[in-house]
This record gives sequence, structure tokens and C-alpha cells, in this order.
Amino acid sequence: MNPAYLLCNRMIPIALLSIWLCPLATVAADLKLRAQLAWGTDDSKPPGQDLKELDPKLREKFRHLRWKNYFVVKSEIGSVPVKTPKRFTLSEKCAVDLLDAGDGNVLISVFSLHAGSPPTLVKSEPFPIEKLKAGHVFAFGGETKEKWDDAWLVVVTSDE
Amino acid sequence: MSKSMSKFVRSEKRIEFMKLETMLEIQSSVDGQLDNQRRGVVTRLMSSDTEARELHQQLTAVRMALRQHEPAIPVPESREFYWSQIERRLQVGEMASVSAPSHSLAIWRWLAPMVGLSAVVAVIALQPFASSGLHSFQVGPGNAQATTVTFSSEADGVTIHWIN
Repeated sequence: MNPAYLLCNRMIPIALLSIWLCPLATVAADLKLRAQLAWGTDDSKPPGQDLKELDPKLREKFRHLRWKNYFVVKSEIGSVPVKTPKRFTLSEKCAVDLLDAGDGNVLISVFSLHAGSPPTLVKSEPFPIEKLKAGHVFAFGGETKEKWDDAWLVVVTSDE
Repeated sequence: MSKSMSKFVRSEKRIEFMKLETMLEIQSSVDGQLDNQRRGVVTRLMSSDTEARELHQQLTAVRMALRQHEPAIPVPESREFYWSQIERRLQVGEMASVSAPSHSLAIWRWLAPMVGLSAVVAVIALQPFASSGLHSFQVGPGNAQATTVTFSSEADGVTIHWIN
């Protein structure tokens, strides 16, 4: 077969198609998110516990909340495939499921864990993926049961 | 016979009653429960009657001792925590009472579309605030046991769903 024919009618179109499809390949990759469990308190860090302070940039996002200090209990990064929930177990009592719904939103569900019982859904909210990628921070929060006047925060951010 | 002697000559029950009545009036005077007229009578009595004056002083001393040395029983939790717990239980109770009767389901079938429409209108109404960087708050029902308050700020790039 004529090499010129191969070049013009096969290889160049394939190369151009590959270049054009590359961005699509990037979009089709799994969503990479970070889920963190943070503890809000007015007390200082308790001795003997290896807790890091929340990232200052994240800390600034929560300046509307009233607590003085925020410590990270657990931080996990994971890839969230489309239409398959990814569970992040953040403590023995708390887990969060992240699901790329395929419609541009990620469904964020926080569960309460109980030994010997199935997880209990506490709250579920969809959130635009693009906002996460743009740096928007999503969080569920509430008062802790172990120590009154303290708060827990499940924080979801993009890790891309 | 003088007035005081005639009072003394009267029956014992009447004297005891008058004495008790006088004691009660003195007690009322210590508590600040007498009107001006009766207070004046008691004051004149105390100026002339030593026993009445001593009783007034004793009752005043007891009153002060009780007030100053009343034991303070501290509650381990703060007022805000107690009220938040009460509020939480009330909300759970309200949710349970709303969901219990079967006839409320018919009402909810009418209300649900209206609530949804109101929520859409609220979101549309809040959109200019969100885009301009102002904060938005929304309160809504969570699951059967929790209510949520949503705080969202486009300017700060944060959305927080607070679960009660």
C-alpha cells in the first residue's frame, strides 16, 4: 500500500483524533476527593493525642463558626468512580460516602456507625463537582455527643 | 380598766390568737408584705413592746442567714446545652406527632408540591445574594430525627450543612 495513502488517510486522522480525545480522557478519569473529620473545640489540643490542626486555609473557611480550634481526626483521599459510592470511614462512629452521580454532582452522605448494626444515614446532599474543583469546601457539622459544646465536621474538598 | 388590761382579762384563746396574729404580722413586716397602714401599726408596736421587737430581730436574722447561706447546687452542663437538648427532644416529638396520624398524609399530599415550589422560589430568590458573595441560610427538615441549617457563601467558597 502506498505510504502516502496510509499517512493521509489513516495515521494523521488517528493522531488528530487522539489529540482531540485527550481532554475527554481526562474528564472520564475518576474524581479525586479528600474527606476529613475535624473536631471543633475551644479547648487546646488534648495531650497524648496525635491530632494536627486544620489547614489554615480551611480554618479560614470556617471562621463563621464559633470554635477557636479545629483538629483533624482523620483525613483520607480517594478516587470516586462514576455511579459507584466510595466510603471513607473517618472514625469508629462516622463514615461518609461519596458518589459521582454522573450528572455533574457528587452525592455526599454522612453515616453514623454503630457496632453490630448497619450504618445509619444521617444526611445526604448533592453538590456540584465543578464547585469542589474550583476550591469550594463542603461540610456537614453538628454537636458532639461525647463532649458538649464541641463540634464535629466532615469536610469534603477536591484533591485535584 | 385600761385597754391593755381588758385585753389581758379576755379568754386565753383570744390572747393566744392575738399573740399569734401579732407574730404573723411581724413576720409579714419582715417579708415586706404589709401595707403602709399595717406596717405603721407594727412599727409602733415594736417601739413599745420589747418582745415584739426581739421577735422582729430574730426573724430578720433568720431571713438573712437563709439567703446568704443557701447552698448553690451547680448544674454540670450550661444553660445553652440544656435548652439545646430540650429543643431537640421537642423537635423529635413534633416530628413523631406529625407523622403518626394517617389523615395528615392527605394534607401532606397537598402541601408537598407547595413546599417544593416555595423552596424553588426561595432558591431563585437567594441566587442573586449567593452570586454577589453574600451569605445564605436555609433551614429545612433532615431525616425523621434531625433538622438542618445550611450556610453557604460563594465569596468564602464554603457550604456547611449543620445537623441538629
